[in-house]
Amino acid sequence: MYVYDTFDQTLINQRVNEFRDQVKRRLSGELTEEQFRPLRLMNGLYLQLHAYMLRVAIPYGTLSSEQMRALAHVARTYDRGYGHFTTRQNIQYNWIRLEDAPDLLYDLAAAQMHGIQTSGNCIRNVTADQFAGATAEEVDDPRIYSELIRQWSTLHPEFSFLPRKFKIAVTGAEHDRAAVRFHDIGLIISRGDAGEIGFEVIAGGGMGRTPVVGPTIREFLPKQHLQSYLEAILRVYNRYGRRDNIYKARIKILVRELGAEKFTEEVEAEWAAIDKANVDHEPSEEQRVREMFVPPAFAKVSGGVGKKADQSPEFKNWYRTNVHAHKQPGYGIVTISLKPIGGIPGDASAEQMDLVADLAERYSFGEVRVTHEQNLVLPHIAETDLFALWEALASADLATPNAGLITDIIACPGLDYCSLANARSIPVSQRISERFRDLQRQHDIGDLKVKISGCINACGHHHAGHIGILGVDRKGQEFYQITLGGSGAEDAAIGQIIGPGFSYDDIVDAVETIVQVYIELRQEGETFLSFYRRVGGEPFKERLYARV
Amino acid sequence: MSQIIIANDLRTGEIVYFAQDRSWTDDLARAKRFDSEEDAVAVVESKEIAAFSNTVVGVEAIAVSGSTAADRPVSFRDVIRATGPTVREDLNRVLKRA
Amino acid sequence: MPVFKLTSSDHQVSVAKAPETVRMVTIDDLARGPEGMSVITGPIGLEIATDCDLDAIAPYIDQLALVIIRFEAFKDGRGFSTARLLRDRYGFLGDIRAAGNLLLDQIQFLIRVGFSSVEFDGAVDEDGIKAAIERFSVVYQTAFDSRRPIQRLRQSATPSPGP
Repeated sequence: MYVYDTFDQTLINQRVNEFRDQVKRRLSGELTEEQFRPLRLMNGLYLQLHAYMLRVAIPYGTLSSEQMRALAHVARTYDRGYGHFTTRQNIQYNWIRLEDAPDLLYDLAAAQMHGIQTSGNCIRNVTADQFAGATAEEVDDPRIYSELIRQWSTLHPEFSFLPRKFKIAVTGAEHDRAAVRFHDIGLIISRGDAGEIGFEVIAGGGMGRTPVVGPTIREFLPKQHLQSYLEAILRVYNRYGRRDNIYKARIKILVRELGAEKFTEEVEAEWAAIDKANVDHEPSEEQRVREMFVPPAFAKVSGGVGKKADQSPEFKNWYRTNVHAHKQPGYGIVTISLKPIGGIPGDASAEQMDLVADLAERYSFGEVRVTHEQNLVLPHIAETDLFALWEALASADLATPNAGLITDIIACPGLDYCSLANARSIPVSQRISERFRDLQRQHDIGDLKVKISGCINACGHHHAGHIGILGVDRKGQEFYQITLGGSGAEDAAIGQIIGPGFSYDDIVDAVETIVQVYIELRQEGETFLSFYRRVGGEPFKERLYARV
Repeated sequence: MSQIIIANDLRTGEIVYFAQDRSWTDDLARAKRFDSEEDAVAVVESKEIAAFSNTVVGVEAIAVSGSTAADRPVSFRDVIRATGPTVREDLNRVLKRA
Repeated sequence: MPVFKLTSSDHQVSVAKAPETVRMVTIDDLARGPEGMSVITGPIGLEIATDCDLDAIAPYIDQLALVIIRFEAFKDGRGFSTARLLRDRYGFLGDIRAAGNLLLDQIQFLIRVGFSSVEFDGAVDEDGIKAAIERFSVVYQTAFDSRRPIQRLRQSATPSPGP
């Protein structure tokens, strides 16, 4: 994985000094809150309901054991012993003090970590497929390009004061685990006519108030022109994106208002005028970065999972959902579920983080991933190590065998933490999780992504949920709207509202009713999503609103 | 309906209330009660509060259910601000009774 | 408010107070052509908004010693692209000034995209500007200024692993 050289390190060290100075100037009153706010946001520091929240970047969701230990250290030293992994592969701490933030960032910088551009109207953390470098179905490792984009976008002098936030995602596999069509820019690594590597470029996708599945604006961009093309898109957005209304300021609005064709023309015209040699990376730089993402020294593994594993039904349950095929024979990709039954989705204690760091060091070549569905991944596990790993995870409540099942719920922090929220999302998630705790039932239901957002900003990505739940405030009461049929994968789709919403008391019963309709009426082998796409919303509406 | 004034401490981010003695307290029971929203907002927008711009941020007036120290904020959001996340009772502040 | 002149070469940026010697004209003045402008002698300058249509002023650029880009809000990032295009695309060689509601912390960005002077709305001291300018000794991107991006520094440096 990428390791900083002295230049990368210098930049984040100087950033810490800059922020320390800015905090000093704020506390002395030299900077007003209005002036300071965008500066602290560009270091990931929000003011939330209870305290400051700090969002630390985990570039393309990849981190080392050492970095995971640094995150545990922050949780223990500067927070209340835990952190929350987010739907953009970052981590958030909820109880940070402004006066501690410079020291916190100083400590993180020693582990090559920071909060740069994790908030603010700038280019945010680039997210990528959490199975990158481990899955067989990969054209090329998306993290190579994510790292190139990270460098190009960090403290970009022209694009640090955009109309609004800007999110980029990259996938190298046909099965899209990065939800690229729901991003401001999505990149799908592909091959051109001569077999050369490049990208299908998607622009203007997004969640939020006005969800959009982003259109493809360029079928093929040769990889050597990555930065210059992004620069063209960003310049068009920076100049013409709306600044009069924050709810209409994302690039998706510009693409819609101009039309994809006209927008593409503007981008292509700008790109034609850009001096590409000045902006694009040198092949040698790509090679330098690429060398940091070569596969680890895999061993020759034989013997499979072993006898103890074969004889353990609990292990087999976990193996069934939480171990994914690896491109290397004898290896597997492990998903660590951060969704214990009745637990808070995506949260991990400092102790759990330390354990994951140790296990990664021992079993996964020191590498961990964060998924945008708020789980962790150990990407390279020898089959012969799986049982021991599972036992260790189980001892820390990290072995819930539910990856991809209905209790693997994605939920934003919601009204329990977030100042933007209208309703709580975490307790809804907990109650759904409890309701469906029976593992046999979960397997009978199969693949079912439940995604919950506590407000219309959709940080829980509910639009992309097979079952999406949106919390709203109805006359001072928490109320929940249900959408069905969303998908964040390569078959991207926005969920459809099913009908009137449900109260906090009734929402879990409603979800159960929806599941029951599916179980009763599905055809052999039909997933929930396929079922919905076949039958539509009517069968659900009939049952949900029968007695209304 | 009574009102109180709530803010976040600039340095710590913690919830604080404007107290009777015109300082900032983390004890809801000691928050100064205002009889009307107009009265509270007038103070929020006053020079007196502006002088605290390097002590607190996000100053606003919120409704509480009555005028005694035992009364809680009206909106659920403000109750959560006063007591902490509903899903982590171990991290909650217990609202003191007068 | 005092105007600070910004000059940048590869690693050094310097800042100095700049005397005001330029006469400001409007786009209407310029549109009147050589006859209308004949009464005006000496260097002239034009103030534009952050979202100015540069094609509209392109015919007059050669006459200008100064273009001021007025920031009504420091968050209005359009001014950065406008300056960049004025340099890269329209080849303007005179003074481009960022004026208005700006933060000290933006100064490196201003220099990098091609601004050569700055006028802050509020009071700012030279030490503060100097500190802001010297804040970052490395940059990732190539921009208008001549600072070499990290990528180029890497190519010149002896390869070394992490810190």
